[in-house]
Amino acid sequence: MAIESDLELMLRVRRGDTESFEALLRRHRAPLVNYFSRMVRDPALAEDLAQEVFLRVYRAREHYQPEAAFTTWLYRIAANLALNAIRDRKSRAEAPTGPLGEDFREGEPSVARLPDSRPTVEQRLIQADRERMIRNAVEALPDKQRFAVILHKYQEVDYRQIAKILEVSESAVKSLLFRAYETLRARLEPLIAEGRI
Amino acid sequence: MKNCFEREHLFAYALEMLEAQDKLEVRQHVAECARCRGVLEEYRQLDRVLDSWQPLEPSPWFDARVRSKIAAVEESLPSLWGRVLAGLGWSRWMAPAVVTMMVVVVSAVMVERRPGLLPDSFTHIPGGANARSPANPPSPMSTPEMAEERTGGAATLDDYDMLASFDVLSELPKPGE
Repeated sequence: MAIESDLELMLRVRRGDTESFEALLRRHRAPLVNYFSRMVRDPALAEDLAQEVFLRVYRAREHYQPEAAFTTWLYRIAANLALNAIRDRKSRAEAPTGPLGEDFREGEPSVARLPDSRPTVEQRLIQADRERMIRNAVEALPDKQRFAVILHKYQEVDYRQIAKILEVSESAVKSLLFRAYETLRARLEPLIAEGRI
Repeated sequence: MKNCFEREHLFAYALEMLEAQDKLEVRQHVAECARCRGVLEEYRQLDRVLDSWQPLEPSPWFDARVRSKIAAVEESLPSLWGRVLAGLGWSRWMAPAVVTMMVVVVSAVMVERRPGLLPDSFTHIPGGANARSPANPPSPMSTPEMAEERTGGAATLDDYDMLASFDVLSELPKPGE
């Protein structure tokens, strides 16, 4: 049986087919939770925001127009929600931990939550330290650079699509990514050097 | 080596953001240029480092929560009339006025269709739209004869000149009577 495209599924959702909505949910829940977890840190908030994306997709189903790729639309909703969440958290100056809140416990890397990985304590600590450095480096990027890096590197969204999501030109996305990677290369030099050993 | 590419161009090559022709040129160049190969290797090493930021798995109850949120939204949707009124952009205060108007219209239609509901004098206009026809027989309680009996004769009502010259003061007792 051929795998139906997002577009086909969404057009069925528009006609009231809830099974197709379930299929979209199964297909995109993990990427969206990952996206938000990298954008806002807090896993609970990441889940809430990912759920909100699906809720908005469902509510807008009758007005859906297949003008762009489904994922472009999906991540445009997600980008707006993430930006609002980041602004909300930044505006709470009294937040006790870090610029975006330190909701991931230090020493407990996300790999520990994956069912198949059983690293040793030492490996977990090393992994936690690496993740903390990467997260801090990515979070320190300006908003648009961060969005571009997370979408391109972790969500595997094509740069042309990122341009549509962020509503900038394709050359601007290339430039955003280049500047972001140059900054990350400098900040993560210790980790890159480890890889050379 | 001469004619080396800018870092930004090599970066675009590393992230597969070049068009086919540009990609081919870079590939041919780096095959012979150690410096540009070194730059590409830096980006590949960075890419591997970034890979070590592991993904977060959605919780097992993720789907159930989405369904629950959708159900909550569906339940909170206004009624059909509410949506129609909201769609028209009417203010809330207009709704009672509309309902009142509808009640009046419905009542009028009911009276129109059921002549016995009100006394005949309310509905019967001689020569008007309600003029009796074979299809609309008079009610036994409201024949012309009965109506004449109640009013004292149609001639009295038809004598407008008499009513016009009627002096109510003439009916008052005169002083000293």
